[in-house]
Amino acid sequence: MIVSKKWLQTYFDKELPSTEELVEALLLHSFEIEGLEERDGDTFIDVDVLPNRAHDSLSHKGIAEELSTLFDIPLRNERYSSPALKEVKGGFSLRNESGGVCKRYIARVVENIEVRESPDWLRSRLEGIGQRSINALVDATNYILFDLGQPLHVFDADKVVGGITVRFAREGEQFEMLGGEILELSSEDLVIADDEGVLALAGVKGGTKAELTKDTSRIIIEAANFDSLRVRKTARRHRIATDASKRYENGITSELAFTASNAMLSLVEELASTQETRLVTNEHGFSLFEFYPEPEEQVVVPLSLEKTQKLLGFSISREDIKEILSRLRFSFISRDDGFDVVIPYERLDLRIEEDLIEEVGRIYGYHNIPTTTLDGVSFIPEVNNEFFLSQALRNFFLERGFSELMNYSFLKKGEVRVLNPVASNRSFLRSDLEKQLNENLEKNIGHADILNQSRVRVFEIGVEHYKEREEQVLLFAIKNNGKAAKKRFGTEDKQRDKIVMELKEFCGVEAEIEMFSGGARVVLSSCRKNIIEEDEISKLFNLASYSDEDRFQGISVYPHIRRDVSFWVGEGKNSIEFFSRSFRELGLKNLRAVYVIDSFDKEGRQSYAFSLIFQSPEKTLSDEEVNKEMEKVYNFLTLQGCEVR
Amino acid sequence: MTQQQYGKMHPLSQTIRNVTKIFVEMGFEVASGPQREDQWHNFDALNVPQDHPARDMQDTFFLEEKDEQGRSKVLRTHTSSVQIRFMESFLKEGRELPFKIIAPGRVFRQEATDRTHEAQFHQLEGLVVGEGVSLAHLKGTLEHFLHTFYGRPIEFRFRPGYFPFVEPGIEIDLKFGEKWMEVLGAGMVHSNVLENVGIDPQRYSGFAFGLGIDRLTMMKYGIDDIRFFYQGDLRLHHALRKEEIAYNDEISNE
Repeated sequence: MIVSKKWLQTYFDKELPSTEELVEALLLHSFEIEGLEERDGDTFIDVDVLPNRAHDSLSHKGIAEELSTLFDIPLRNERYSSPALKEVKGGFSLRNESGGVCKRYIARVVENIEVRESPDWLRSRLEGIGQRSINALVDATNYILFDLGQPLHVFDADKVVGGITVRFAREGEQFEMLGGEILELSSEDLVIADDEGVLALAGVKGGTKAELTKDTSRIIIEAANFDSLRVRKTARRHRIATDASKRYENGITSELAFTASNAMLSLVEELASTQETRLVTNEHGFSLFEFYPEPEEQVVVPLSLEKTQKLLGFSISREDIKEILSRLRFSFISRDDGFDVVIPYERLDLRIEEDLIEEVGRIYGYHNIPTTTLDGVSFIPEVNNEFFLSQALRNFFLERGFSELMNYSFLKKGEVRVLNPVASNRSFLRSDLEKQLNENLEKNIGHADILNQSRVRVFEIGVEHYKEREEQVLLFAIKNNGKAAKKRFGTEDKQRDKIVMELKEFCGVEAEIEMFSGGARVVLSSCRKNIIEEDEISKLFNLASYSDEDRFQGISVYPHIRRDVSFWVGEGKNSIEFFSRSFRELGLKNLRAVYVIDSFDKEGRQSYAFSLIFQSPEKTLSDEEVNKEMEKVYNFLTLQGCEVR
Repeated sequence: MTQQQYGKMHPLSQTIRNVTKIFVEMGFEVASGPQREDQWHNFDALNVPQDHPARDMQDTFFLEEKDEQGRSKVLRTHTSSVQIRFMESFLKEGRELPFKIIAPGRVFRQEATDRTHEAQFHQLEGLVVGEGVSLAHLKGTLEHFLHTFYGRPIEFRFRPGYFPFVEPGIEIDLKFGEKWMEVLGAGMVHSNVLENVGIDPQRYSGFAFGLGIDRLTMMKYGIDDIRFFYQGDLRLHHALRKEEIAYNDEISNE
């Protein structure tokens, strides 16, 4: 939620600390800060309110209260003047047919108002946080939403036929939303209706039937609270998310409705009143039309000193806790072993002792809590066979020159269907890793130049999904890059057979090994147990493929160009290392790899062959571009007295 | 056989291996659980009730198959489900508290993919439960882990976070240069979670933490796109090296 620093300042007489200090304190004790923007002489802070604090903190009031706690600066008492509208007797009918889903409903009726444009202060407050100004009344409801966190709605009372009923929609009932879109409602949707039809989708969005216009002179102001789950379902069903529905979905206290209703009256008086403006009362002179069947009760949560110390892990003092509770503006009664803490209505997140311990911990500052080692927690771990077996098999294949890949768990076909796949060709969980691995072979053969490999050997350890079970398996596969590799290493199947033989020895005769062309599949659960001696476990982890100094050097999506160069070395023997390093240090912009591929000695003359790989991260290289870089290579070799063959 | 002829493990396996090693040396047991979970283990038991906004935090893949209560099974959205699996069987087997476990594994989220989001990724969960286990223990444990993992003292900070299965909830940032990066979620196990598996929260307490393996790996090597991990492309392994220009100084027999 975006908050304005100037707006926050209206909560305090004392000047707020610097933005830097505010952000730092909020981050360490309350919420993450998503962004910060200085504009129009104000500072806007994008606060990522945690889900459990969405009850009380999705407003300037919520953030201001948090700052009051963190910096121990007092809040200003009255920010809205008490409404002093003249009253007139009239009538208004309000019925509750919501069966408890509407937890509280307050209506105020005001007549003879004028719908004007917003004054500058109101317009700039709203525009500052990205809201559009509409007219002073609508803006006032929005202002209060972002100020206090209570959604409000204003109806044109002259367009309301009969009274207001909070009821469930009839199945298929039509509702025209503000903006003109028509919804077909379900009997699960709660609505605000008059005697003719739907005025608003409760807690979500208003309708056009009783929409304010510039000619409106009588208004009904709604301040209500609805069941969070019900609002959530309705918002979901119709795919509408509004600032109001967001607050109701998270749950807010019903007590806030009264405060906000009064605040709105105060703004109506300030922004829309005339000499003739009157607040309508019933025949007994009450202006509050309300139902609130089950008023919220104040919750008291005990907080023990011992439990706080035990959970936080250090001996925080009674005095420290007392100070924190006071700064949080919580009332509390001291007991011998701790406190009984009276939870403010808006803190719906505080219900058990640990919730309060969290308050103590975060205000004290988690960064201030000391550290303790786990040495005192003695436990004899059992060996997880499956996990250590997979580590051992991983080493088995790495040692034999195979590299490990990971593929997606989703495929077009399989036995277990995903109801909400990311794409239609990924709507099953894989039961066949072989196809993926074969595709990997094809793909990597295409990169053989870059990888400097004449064959590709890969394996994957993964889960196959079947109806009723998951199976952890290892698959390996081999592919020769052309005839030379076949001549040197034998056919893929011949290479596979050798591995399978060794694998059988490693995994035991019972091991379920299934061969396929150029590879095989092993079921981990079929391998003999306790392949690893317990004292060997830690050694399993020692084999590493990367070092701390390794950095990702990028993968280009553009094709590479390979150029081979062979040459007779000139006078004064130079080593492979010398040429390899020299090529790399020629400053060739697109050179990505230098591989020595041949070396021989003939009649006292040394010959080398190198393969140079060129590739750009930005584009497809042309032959001309590579030719230019190769010129530099040839020039260098000439300078060294080499003879290019 | 020389080191040169070895194949390369997947970078995520390397990270899981490095992290696991540190915790195994601290006496942790390695736990595992299924990728397809019932809603009890993935949500209910972890204090994420049905129809609760907290379930929105994790966009879930639902499966056609049903769990015992007739609800759709899900692809686990976190390795936290292994917490419940482990505690249930730990008690069933009659083993006695305390315990210390980690659980690495693949998890799933139904979300649009981009450079930093994937529908599948890897997490490593940690859980310690016993008498007197505290936030100070959590801090000490993670401090030791981070210093060992990075091979140097690394600046980190604890700040408030929210996960339904812990209370208090913590997020942990690490400092790289001038930048703070969010790396871990953690907290003290919620008393409802302990109660759900039959551990008395009046007597026992615990801490839990979760580590994003993909993110940690990306940060460690500077990999700028999470999707590289699952393309079956060996150029990823090859691209993790010291030098910008790859080279060999010996003729490969490959």
